[in-house]
Amino acid sequence: MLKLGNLAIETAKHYGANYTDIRIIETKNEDLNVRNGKVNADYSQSLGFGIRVLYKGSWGFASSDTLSTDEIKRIAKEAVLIAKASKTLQATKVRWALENSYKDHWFTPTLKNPFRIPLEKKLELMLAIDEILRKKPEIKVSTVEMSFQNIRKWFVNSEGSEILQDLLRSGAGYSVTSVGNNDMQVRSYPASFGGQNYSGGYEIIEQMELLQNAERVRDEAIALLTADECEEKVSDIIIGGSQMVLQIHESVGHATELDRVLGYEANYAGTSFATLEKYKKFKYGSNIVNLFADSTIPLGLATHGYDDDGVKAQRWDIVKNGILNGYMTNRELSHKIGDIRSRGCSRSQGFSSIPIIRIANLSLAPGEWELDDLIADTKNGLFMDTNKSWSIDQMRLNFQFGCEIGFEIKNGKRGKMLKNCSYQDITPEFWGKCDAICNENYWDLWGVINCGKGQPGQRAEMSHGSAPARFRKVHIGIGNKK
Amino acid sequence: MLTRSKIHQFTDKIIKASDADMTTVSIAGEREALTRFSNNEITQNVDSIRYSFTIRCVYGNKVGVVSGTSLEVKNIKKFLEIAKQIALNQKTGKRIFSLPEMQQYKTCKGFDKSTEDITPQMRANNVRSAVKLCIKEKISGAGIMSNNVVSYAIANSKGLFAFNENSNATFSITAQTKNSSGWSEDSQTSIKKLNVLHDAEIAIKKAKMSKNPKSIDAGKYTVILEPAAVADIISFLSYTVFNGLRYAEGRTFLSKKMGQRVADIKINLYDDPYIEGIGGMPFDFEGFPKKRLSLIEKGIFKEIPTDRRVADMLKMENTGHSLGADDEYGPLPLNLHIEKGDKSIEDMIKSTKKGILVTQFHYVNILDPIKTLITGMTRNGIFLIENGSLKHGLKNLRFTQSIMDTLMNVDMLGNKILIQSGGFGGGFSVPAMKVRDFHFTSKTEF
Repeated sequence: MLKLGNLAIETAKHYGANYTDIRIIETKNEDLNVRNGKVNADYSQSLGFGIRVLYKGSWGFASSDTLSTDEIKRIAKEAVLIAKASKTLQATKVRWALENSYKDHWFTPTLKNPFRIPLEKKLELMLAIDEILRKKPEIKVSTVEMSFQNIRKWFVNSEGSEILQDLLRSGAGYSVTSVGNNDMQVRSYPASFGGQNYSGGYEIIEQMELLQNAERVRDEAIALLTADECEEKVSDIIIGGSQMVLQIHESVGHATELDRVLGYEANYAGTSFATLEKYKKFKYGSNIVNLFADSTIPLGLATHGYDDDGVKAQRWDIVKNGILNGYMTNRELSHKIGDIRSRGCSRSQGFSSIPIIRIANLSLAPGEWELDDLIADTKNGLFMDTNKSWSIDQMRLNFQFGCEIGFEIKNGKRGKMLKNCSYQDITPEFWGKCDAICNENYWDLWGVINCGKGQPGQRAEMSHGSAPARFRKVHIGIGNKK
Repeated sequence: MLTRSKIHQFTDKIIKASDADMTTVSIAGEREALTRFSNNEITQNVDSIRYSFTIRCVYGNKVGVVSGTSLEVKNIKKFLEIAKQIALNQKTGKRIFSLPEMQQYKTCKGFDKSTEDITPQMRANNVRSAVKLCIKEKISGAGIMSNNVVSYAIANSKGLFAFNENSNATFSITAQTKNSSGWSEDSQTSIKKLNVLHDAEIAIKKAKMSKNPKSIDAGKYTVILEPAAVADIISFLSYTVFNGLRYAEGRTFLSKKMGQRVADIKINLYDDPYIEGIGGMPFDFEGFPKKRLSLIEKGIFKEIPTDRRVADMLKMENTGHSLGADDEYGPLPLNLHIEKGDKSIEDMIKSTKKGILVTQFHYVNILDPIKTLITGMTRNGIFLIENGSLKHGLKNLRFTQSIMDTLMNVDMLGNKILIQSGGFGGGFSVPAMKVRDFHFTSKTEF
């Protein structure tokens, strides 16, 4: 593979490229799904390469799924041709941040390779869960999922880096849909939209307590059908860890992607309110709000040795003591905030996509509260968890998120179950209302596997860590009866 | 891109090499070339061709599915063996439908060879002409110019082979001032039909008109939704309201409402893959011919898409809307088309005492699928209308609104249609709408 990589670099240089990198990527996926007792088992494998070049400070990128010397030469030439077209409308040359060159083989720490676990064993667990979920007639749909991904990525660039990475991801989860009382409700475990996912092997699935929670999740879905609806009002809220993930992702992660801040996504994903004049000054949240990005954190979906610019993984602060303290950066744009080195957030969906800035693993640092104490300290409010829907404006200010389940808090005690819970606020005002965060015993890392961005559209994966947190006086139950 | 006959040769070889009781092969191909610009310069420029194949092997009542990217015959044996192992390693089987034999299809008009052949320089030239206009008007322009071709083929061991190809050229631009923005986009089967300068002019005009936007209180307003805004809302009808499986399982707004009035009498809603430029395919993902459906006629709910399983559940005919033989999501209408009316947007504005004109929505998502309650933000040009004319730009608003209430409250339909291809058989065709009592629930800061 390294020989093919070096051929790409030599060819692109021959046609005039000043910088070249090639990523040769082999991806294997196993996706298992049991819906209402019926099994779907898919295995997929892809192999291809993408070549990116800088020609006099302008970008060109081309890719192919045919891995041969002739095709590599053709695509390298094509990438330079595209860069030459880019050059015709380029006011400023790309400034490419310094980075060491590396020769390395990095791999996800793994105990049990999920691709070597027999299919029958995985399906046996899934069918056992499915049986519990469908034991009551109100449950119309039960879906149990497992998915595994292995990415083998060779990165070679014209600066001398030769990096091989073996990245492994394992995930599982289930959801049930209950129907009755002129209503339909959904509950999921451990999280919605693809379950829980970590970088690692099958040992992760074994620790998820999937079977042990099936009865509770099923019964909650049924109870929601006759539960009261969350009233529209202003209330104190405690948000559970799996919903905090979405909160962090949408209102901090995307808002601090430097390409968005600089207008590169203005026509599609949007821009950001967290503009450069606010850097290291802006009050993003209350003093207890500390958010850190970490591409080295164990189990994170964006945990790797190197990003797609060949930058070594790092940890850094995004919000420190409530102040905006950092951005997600790549080698092209890091100089815009005065950094000589990239934070290493350049990633692509696969061989046929150009690397762009993506959210790294981004987490809210734990606080000091026990959850029971936090509820006891809340006179009247609402606890809500598990994401159901999300929407946020293109500058990442006005958001409205819905949760699968809520519980009333009355006089410091957990009360009745509530359905159709949602909350809406403006990002910095909301984070400013955060006055309590639970401690590390309640902190977990949650995987996001469906983050979309870019034109052409790309999907990326990352994780966010959080414990439950309290926010004061938030607008809840939007669109429901008062 | 590979020709129909090359694809057919490949599917034949796979089917011949398989020892399964039933074998189905599908091949999706995509050439995607896109030039992206922002801050009035090109920032990204890509070109990729990729294929993926999926092989479905049935042994008895067990199924193994494998997919890959390399259309090289030497790899096929390995994939077939994996599919066999997946199938034979399952303890429980499931109901298996027989494979369809060769079918007759209508033609979808959606391919233009010249659009496939656009060079990076041609895209750059188009972008440059739009950016020139932005610079002249002291506007920051961002957007894309792209040319795509998508092909899809399905073949099976009963002799079926179906192939479809669509092309698409798109120009999209967001024009920005310090505190406002405007947007325009055009998507056509052929590059020849694009008018890049026209789109740039619209976006620039909207950005200038909405400078220094004023805030307005949330509440219920009459709205004029331009076609792109209508499309942002209507797209949710496909997978929630008109999902055949959800309908059969009592999980949609429409369950048990067939034959009832569900929208204003002016609403005629179809699923029509045969409209030129909508990106449709004449067959579904099992190879059955796709029927044009009258989903809503004069406000009455008439038809629902089915595949064989849903048709069986509902005792209806198969309309050819399967998403695949093992699909668990449910048959969907992928090419929603709302029949146009007779009013221009200017007519709608003139007839409005107080209202809001919306260019497009952003990040729309479903809150309650049974009530069809959705939420989203306005984007890139929102204007106050007073006494029949546009007054000024407004700061963006969030709406929380039922889609079906929106269709019930339609006062006027536009006389022009926006047709947009969504890739791999998807797309829509919708006019502008004037709607009363549209619920904006909060505001934002810009």
